[in-house]
Amino acid sequence: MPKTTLGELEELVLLAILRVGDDAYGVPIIDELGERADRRVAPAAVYVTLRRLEDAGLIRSQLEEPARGKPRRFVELTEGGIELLKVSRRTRMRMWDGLEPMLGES
Amino acid sequence: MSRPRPPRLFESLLRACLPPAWREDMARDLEELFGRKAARGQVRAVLWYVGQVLSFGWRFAWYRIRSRTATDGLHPGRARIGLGEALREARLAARSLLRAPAFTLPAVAVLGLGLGASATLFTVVDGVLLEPLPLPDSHELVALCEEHVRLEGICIGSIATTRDLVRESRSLTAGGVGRGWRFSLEDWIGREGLRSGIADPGLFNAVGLSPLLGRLFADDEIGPDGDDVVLLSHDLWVRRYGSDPSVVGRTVRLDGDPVVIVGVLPADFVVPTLEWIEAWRPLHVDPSSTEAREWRGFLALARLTPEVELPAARAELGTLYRGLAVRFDAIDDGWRLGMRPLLDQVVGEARPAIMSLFSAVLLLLLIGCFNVANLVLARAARRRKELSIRSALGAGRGGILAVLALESVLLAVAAATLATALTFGGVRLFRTLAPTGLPRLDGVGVNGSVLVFIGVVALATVLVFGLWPALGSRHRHSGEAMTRLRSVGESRRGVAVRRGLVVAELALSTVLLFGGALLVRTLNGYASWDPGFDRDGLYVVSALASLGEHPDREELMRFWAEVEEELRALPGIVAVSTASSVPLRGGREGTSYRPEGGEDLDEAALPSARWYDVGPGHFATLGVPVLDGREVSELDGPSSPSVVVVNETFARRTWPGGRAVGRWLEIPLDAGGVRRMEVVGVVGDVRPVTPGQPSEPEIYWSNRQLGRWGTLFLVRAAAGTADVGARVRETIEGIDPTISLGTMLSMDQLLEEPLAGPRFNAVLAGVFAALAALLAVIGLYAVLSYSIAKEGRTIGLRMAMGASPPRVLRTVLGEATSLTLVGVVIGAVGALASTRLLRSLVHGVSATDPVTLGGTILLILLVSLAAAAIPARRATRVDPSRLLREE
Repeated sequence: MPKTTLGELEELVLLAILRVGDDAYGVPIIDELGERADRRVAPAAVYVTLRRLEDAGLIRSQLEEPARGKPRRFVELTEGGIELLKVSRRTRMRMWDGLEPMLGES
Repeated sequence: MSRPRPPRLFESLLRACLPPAWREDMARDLEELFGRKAARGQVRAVLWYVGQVLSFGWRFAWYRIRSRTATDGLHPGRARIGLGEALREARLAARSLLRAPAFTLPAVAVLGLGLGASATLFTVVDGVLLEPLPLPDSHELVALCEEHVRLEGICIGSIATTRDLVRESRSLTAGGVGRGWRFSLEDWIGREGLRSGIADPGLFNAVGLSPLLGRLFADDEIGPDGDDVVLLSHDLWVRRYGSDPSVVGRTVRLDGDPVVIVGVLPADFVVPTLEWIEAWRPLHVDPSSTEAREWRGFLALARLTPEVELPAARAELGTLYRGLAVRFDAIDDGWRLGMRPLLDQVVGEARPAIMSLFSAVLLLLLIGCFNVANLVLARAARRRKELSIRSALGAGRGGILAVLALESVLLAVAAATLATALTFGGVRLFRTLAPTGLPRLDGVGVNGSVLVFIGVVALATVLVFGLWPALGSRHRHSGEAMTRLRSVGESRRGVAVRRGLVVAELALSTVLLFGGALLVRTLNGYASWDPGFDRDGLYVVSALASLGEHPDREELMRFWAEVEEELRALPGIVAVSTASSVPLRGGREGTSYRPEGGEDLDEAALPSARWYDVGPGHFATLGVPVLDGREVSELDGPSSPSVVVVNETFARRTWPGGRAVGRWLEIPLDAGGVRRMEVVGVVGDVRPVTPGQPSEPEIYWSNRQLGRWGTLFLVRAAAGTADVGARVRETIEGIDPTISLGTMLSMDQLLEEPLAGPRFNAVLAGVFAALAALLAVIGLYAVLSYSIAKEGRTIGLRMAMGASPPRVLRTVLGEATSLTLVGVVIGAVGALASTRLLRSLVHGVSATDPVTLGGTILLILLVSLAAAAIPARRATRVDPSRLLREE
């Protein structure tokens, strides 16, 4: 059965991968979550999430030798992953629609 | 510079926890994060890394269990059987542990005890030695110590010198002096002997706290004309005045002088080491006088200028002090200025005892861990059949590791629970037993970091040693790793490892037992302590005469004599005397002296001794024998020649081989000049509390010739005399109601304090020794019986070849004995080398005592022979064919 919804950490990790771009491997993803999302996530939790996302076909990973330094396992979103992010965003937008004034953030 | 690397051991553990596909990548990423942490502190980084290993371990174990039952791509089996599966695995692991109580119980007990003991001591170290003092910016506070070459380790200060140093130094922002000084308080409520003190205004500036009410002392409130004010502690204000703010501004009398209450100190105001002071009065001495420089009976406390380092401040003040020595005769060549953090000064003597005990306990923990490792290893070998079956049924290496890990976690949880309970109990016991003199006892309590310490060490020990046998194998694929353990018992390497373990365990046990035995012998010394005088029916009460009522010293001395007479007349009172101190309590006042025959001695080379003044019949009242000559008597009055009594040690040291009675000695007087006194008697020594410690030389002069305003009354009552305290109080107050009396205490109560410290050390030592013996025996037994059990196949073979059981037994025991001897010899060398750790706890017995060492070795031999004989006998009784089949 294909995956249809995302947990919060899964969504944040997918977004972090997109933001980091070509250099996305474990450490920059953890940094991005810390800096932008203000979330101090245990490294192990991030890797378990990455594994789970890969098992579900939402990301793919590849061992690459960067210009400098040691080989890293870089990750990127699959089309399925991008699609699920869009679904998630649309769902949220629909839920948010018209609610801003109630929170005083119009 | 090479990049910092995480500890290898934990790196291997981490790799073992990770799924193969991503193993190297995750390990590299974590190494990168470790590098960043290490830049901010290596120790923290290692702790962080250990935490990450645990975190990866359980998260991936959990992930694996859940993904095995995956139902959809992303959330495997969450709602269905995830939890149930985990519980089932845990139950299986628990059952497997419970099925092997011979393994589980010693493992949990050994680890729990070791951890509990070290966590208890860690709590004490944290509370007493590490926690900063409860004062603002307390790291800036220092004690200024005038140290004399002849008064080793004593830190004292004078008001004049402290003021000069603070004024001239750039390293100090404030500083002052204080000390205890008893006053008799008289107010609208009544009269009370106060636990009070005197200080100069600088002391309060240095402590740096604002008053709760009113103000602190003004800068000119010092000296004979400036001491008509008083500051109340928060405690006294609450206790005596019911927290009434209107007391500020009212006048009370201290020793008859009218003084104004100018302020109340906040509850958190403490002058370290003088916490007990309830009221402060300004110092009554002119700070610019010579007396103010010579009177060094103070705690001098100062605050460093922020950012100034201690060594720089020390150098500057040392120079200033040498400058003062040139200007003032009161600072002779023997004086030096020392400076130490106030915390060190406060903790003082407690540090070495606590630290040696802590090291000993860490050794205990280490051996506990070692024992657990041995037990786990033995068990792993015994289970190889079970694990091979699991492996044959398709369990991967990861799966087998997960089972082992889960068992280890359960073991750790059990041990940590035991350790936590022991720590709470241990800390409570520590606080109950600790001597009143132990500084900062109130700060000792179990906190979160101690509990984390217990959890992390328990888990790390069990995981490391629990998984190590499997991880250590070269065969990294499939269940082969565990099945290969099968060969450990047979291979040459396996035999060497096993024998190495036995020898190491024996050596460590020897070290531990020897330390324990020394401590037990010390404990015996305390238990058999006899002061050399009769404590039964002896009571002591302190009395302080008011200077206003008794301004004249000679009149005062007659007055004390009159009180003594009245007390002697009371029914049931057998003997009465006065003294400025009692044996083992105080008598801390020391003086240098020039003995007859020492006329040529240089001023700086004069010997010193403790002294206190005594009244007629003092030693008869105590029950201390007069060995030669006589005691001081009523006839030794102010106008007759000055006389002195000395103790045996004094007489022997000062005039070796000769008779002391009839000789003279001279002591310097505060006012200048000397006083020559004739020795009229020698009395027996009062034995120090600490076994093996030599008696101090002591001088006792007559309080009829050099009387003081405060004295102790010693009263010996016949057995069964009731209300001694009340009747003595009534009698004294009947003669002069202005006398401030302390609480009457029995001699036993008084000796409790000096005895409490050593007894406390001894009890701790006893507990340590018992734990050490227990751990050593459990460990030895576990290792040896495991080792012999491994010999099962050999035994079976021998018996199948026709060897008789007694002969097999002899061979096995012979081998065990030779291993034991090797271990014991190594251990004995280690034991003799490691006694330095325990030196401050071992008294009255040499730290290399051959009898104790011999006894220890004998005990180890007996235990190891027993540990070898039991499984060996069992093996010889089993049918050899069965043994061979099993293998």
